[in-house]
Amino acid sequence: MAPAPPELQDLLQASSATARDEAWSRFVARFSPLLLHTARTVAREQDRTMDAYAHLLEQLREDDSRRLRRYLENTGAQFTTWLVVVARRLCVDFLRQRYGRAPTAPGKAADHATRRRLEDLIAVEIDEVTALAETRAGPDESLRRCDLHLALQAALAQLPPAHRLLLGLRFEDDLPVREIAKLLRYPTPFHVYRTLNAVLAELRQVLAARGVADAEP
Amino acid sequence: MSEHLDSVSLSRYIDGAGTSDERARCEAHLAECPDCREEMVEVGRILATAPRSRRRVLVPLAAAAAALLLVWTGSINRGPSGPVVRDPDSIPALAPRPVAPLGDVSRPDRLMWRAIPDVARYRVTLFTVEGQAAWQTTTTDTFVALPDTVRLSVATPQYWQVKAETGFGRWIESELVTFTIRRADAPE
Repeated sequence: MAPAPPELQDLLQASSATARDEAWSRFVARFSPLLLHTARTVAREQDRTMDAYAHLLEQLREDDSRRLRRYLENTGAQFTTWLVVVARRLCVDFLRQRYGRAPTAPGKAADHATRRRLEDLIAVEIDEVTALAETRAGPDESLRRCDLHLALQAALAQLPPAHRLLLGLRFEDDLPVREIAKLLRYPTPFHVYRTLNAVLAELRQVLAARGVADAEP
Repeated sequence: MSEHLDSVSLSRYIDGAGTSDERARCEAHLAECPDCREEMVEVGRILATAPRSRRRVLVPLAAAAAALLLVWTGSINRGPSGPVVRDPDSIPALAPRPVAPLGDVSRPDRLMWRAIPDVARYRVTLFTVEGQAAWQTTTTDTFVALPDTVRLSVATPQYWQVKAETGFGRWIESELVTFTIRRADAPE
């Protein structure tokens, strides 16, 4: 387990009210930049940021720092990582309770419209190839597309969880490869690209085995 | 779908802690749950852009300064030997954006990207699939022609990236993007 920072240890071991107050001041001095940054990232506006930050401090100190004590139980993560997860959740809940759900961020709808879907990526390739073989589209084109969709869903279900997560981050969330590499601990973005290429090739093979014979690009 | 990841499981996964079984369980949930994926991404961004505490910064800085004093034998007036990218993740909106070629393409004759304001020059690098720099050039335009000397393999991913110099020694890099030349477009 990662060692707890000394400011946290002092706070949780303080035996008197005065010692707790002093330890709390040291804890806040050490971690307020991170907590404020977290609140600012969630709230985005100055007034809401300060409201959320005040709420955070209140919640973290509440009931003799009950939430902070949980870190010592069985965390195994870095304190700062755990603190950001907890603080962000507190901020999100607080802001939703006070202001309602945040409106969709500007440009998000447009981003959503342009989001690359894995199914489209695979289907377009198959469509391009099959279109060469077919002189004219049959009347049951939509049925064929539906079959393709089902076959792809079944093929995705067979992938290891790590590969499905990779595809989700890349094709559903449209995350930059560099960020995916950092999040999933790939050594470089090239490793992400190589894995993506291998997974897509595997998907095409599975589709081909299921009767989509022209799935090879 | 199972319940959302609790704060301990999520922070352990982000830190790379836990057994392979625990990680696989997290990955199975994250693959199916856009909410938890979004939380993971947001926490990663907060940690990546968080202000560092003085305690954490000062010790490495002091160590680096001490090391520099030990090995420094020459002038300090040398300019930067290569792009120094400072905090590229904090200003993604200002990064140059590759436009073409991307994805499956015919054989390209140029690389194009979207401009950003106040750029002194762009540095474009083409990489092989192994991650080796195959070609690099500098320009003030938002495109460069690919010289004939650059050999592009067919049906093999090629990667490229643009870096924009926005101040002395300050470079902002684009995402690393890829393209593949379709087999049908190979020369006879």
